[in-house]
Amino acid sequence: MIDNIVTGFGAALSAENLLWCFVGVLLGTVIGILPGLGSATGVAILIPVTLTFPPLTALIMLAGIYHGAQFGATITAILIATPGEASSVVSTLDGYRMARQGRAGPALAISALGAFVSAMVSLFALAAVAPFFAHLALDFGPPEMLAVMILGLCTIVVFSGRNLLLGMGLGLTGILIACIGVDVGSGTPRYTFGQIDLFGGVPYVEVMIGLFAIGELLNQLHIGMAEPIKARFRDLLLTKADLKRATPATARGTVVGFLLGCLPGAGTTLASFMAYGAEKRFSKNRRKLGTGAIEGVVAPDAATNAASNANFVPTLVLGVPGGATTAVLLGAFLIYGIQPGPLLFENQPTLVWGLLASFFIGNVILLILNLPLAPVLAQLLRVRYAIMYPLIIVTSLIGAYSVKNSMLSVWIVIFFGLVGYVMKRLSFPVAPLVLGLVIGPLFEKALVQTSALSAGDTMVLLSSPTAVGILLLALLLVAGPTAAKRLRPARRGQAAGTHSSAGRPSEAPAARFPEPSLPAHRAETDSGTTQTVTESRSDNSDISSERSS
Amino acid sequence: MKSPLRVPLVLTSVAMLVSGCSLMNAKPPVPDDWTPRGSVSALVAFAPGGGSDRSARVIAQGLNELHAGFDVNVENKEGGSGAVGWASFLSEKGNGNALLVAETALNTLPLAYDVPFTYRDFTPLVMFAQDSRMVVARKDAPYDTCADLVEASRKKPVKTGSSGKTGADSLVIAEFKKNGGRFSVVPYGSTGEVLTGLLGGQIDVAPASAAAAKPYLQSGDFKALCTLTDKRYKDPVLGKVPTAKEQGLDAQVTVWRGVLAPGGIAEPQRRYWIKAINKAMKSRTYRDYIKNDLLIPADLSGQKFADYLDAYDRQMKEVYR
Repeated sequence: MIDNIVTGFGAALSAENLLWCFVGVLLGTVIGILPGLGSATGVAILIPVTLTFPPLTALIMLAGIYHGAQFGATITAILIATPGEASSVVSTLDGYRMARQGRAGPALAISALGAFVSAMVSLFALAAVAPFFAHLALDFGPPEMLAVMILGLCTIVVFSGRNLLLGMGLGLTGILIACIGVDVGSGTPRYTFGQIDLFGGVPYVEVMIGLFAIGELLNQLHIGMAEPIKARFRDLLLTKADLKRATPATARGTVVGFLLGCLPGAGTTLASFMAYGAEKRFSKNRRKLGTGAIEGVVAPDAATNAASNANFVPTLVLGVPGGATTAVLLGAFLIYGIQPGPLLFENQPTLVWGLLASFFIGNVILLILNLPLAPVLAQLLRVRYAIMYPLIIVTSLIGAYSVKNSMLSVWIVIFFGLVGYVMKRLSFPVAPLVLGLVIGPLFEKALVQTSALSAGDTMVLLSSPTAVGILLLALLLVAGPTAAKRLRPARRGQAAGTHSSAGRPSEAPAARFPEPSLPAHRAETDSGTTQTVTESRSDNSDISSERSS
Repeated sequence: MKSPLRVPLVLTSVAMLVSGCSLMNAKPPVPDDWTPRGSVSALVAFAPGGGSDRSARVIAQGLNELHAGFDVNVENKEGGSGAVGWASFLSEKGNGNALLVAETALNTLPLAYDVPFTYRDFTPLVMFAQDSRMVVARKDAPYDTCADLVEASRKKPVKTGSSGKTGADSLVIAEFKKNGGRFSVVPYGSTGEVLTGLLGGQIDVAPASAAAAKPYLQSGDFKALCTLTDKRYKDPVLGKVPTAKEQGLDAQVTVWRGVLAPGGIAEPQRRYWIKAINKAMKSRTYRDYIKNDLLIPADLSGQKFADYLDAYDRQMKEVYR
């Protein structure tokens, strides 16, 4: 392992490679900031540029773009609730709340830090156990993937907020929207109404841009917030309490992300959602999640990064990309004559380990670039809304168009923008819809494959120990809190008591809005689902406190 | 109240209408020495990173290396196994500055789905490569040849994977069915996924492109049962694999990759592109591509390509009946 890493750094650490890595990270960050123009498009656009470079340099630059874009996407998710990538959707939930509370700086900084730590950890894990995880991935056939997708769908419960039935309904709506297009099994067009443009389905990136960017913008217009957020300088820096809260969340996010990233086809989006789900269940501050909790920012970002690194296991060893960007990178590998497969690690160690080392370098550059930049970027929020909003609309629509060079995408953004606005007015949680939309196709594919394998016998799901384990986890996720409450009724009040006093005084801005005064037992059943209630309230209270200060 | 601007407004709109008409009527004929200028889009109806995208980027680079005063940009418009991109290419009718890099599915898609286009809506320029499939199984599989496989599948359907209903994999399965084989097909998203499924033991055999299968044959994870090519591969590893024909099966699969232009382009434009693409195929990029991807070189231009597509279509109609 050590000599592999040394080989890698030996190959990657040349002045030229460092320069292009830096350029890649910078370009990636800019690309990520533009909504819709995600890392997949960014890498695809820049592949021709890199063709003149030696393979390793080119791949290092592309990997730099990949990591940069991921962080860039988080920046806009936090600052203006416009996720540039599907995987940063979750970052808007708490990140944007933090930004509204004037804490955009810490949100960005902790996101950069969390991403860095998880990248480092996952890279070492990758270097140590890549071959082992490749075999793990092989054991994940359709039945096991189906179990993972069921687990993914169960996290809808976590994202549903107060009204579970509503959340499930929205999740199902998401799955239904995902059904549009040619289906994976028989290849029959569904709900396309003869429209060829709909054959490819409704792409979730466009839906996301609409729901989040345009929806949030319309909502802000409705609220009529006239004054931009003015954050005091000390609110822009991370506090010790922030770091203390972020550490366990980063660890959880990294583990969740790495494991999911190793699975072929699971991708980073699922990882970020699941990591947030894990926080909602296991974090000490789980009840504050959704109201601008630092755990809700750092865990999904750590997971995304760990997953995107782990994603290279199935991509390099099996030739099965884990997500859209790794699919593009796989194409780049082929252009450079690298045929992914079982022998890649043996045949081209310099290239593979050099690439992994460059991820390491790319993340260091990303951190150096972004940690000092976080408070500066946070100042973007000072821009007057008269300038900011038109900019957001224009970049959103251009970004949407650029995804597939299609006008349909623009209409989808506008339509879902209105949907997002209505949902925000009605305090509907948006995340279940996105989750349904993302997991729907993956779930269906696994289901079709499983039933094709077993000739329609669903019991095959219970014949695999791995699948049974995952299903039990899903059951725990859904029924766990209720069961725990029934088993230990005495400790309920005590647990809730410790929480309301934990680490609050140090976060003055977070405490600006009124603490929802729920009876202890209600808070327990909902486990941190006060999000929908406080959402509209916190906005208004923010304004009033801004004005008064 | 009468607007003071009324008269000028009416006059301007009339003027615009008239000028619009005159512009439309006065479309100049395409001169014999027509050359493309500026930006030329090469449409790919599949996602970046896939086989089609890769071939398009190779051709685009080859064309750009000619430095002939134009710049080819690959444009991906994916969705519906190619349907979305190809349908949108219909609107380029008569545009000499647009290219389409397509493949077999352009023939099979209109046979499988209700789409508004067929290959006849476009102008065939050059077919630049052919590909085929081979059949692989895990090294401990109970069959060594495709003949064994077909024989075994008669008793009990064999589990195989397919990366798409309109792609080469389904042609392989159709060929074997023609020889009496029986299969249960598990749908996957790509050849990479199919091979992973085979490696993980979920399916028994897998059709795969030579380029994708080769590393697994070298590592000893898989054995090759047969190729569906006309002749054996000229390759140290794959050259040992017999064709299905050698094993007494009437089975062969050919898929094509080619460049097409929109329908209704002028003759000088068609001539120009055929010549330019043939030149681009002399580039090192192109030759490396053919070699690394274990493709079968091909260069059918103009009418020959059109005739090939007609014959191919008749053949596909049999398969998709």
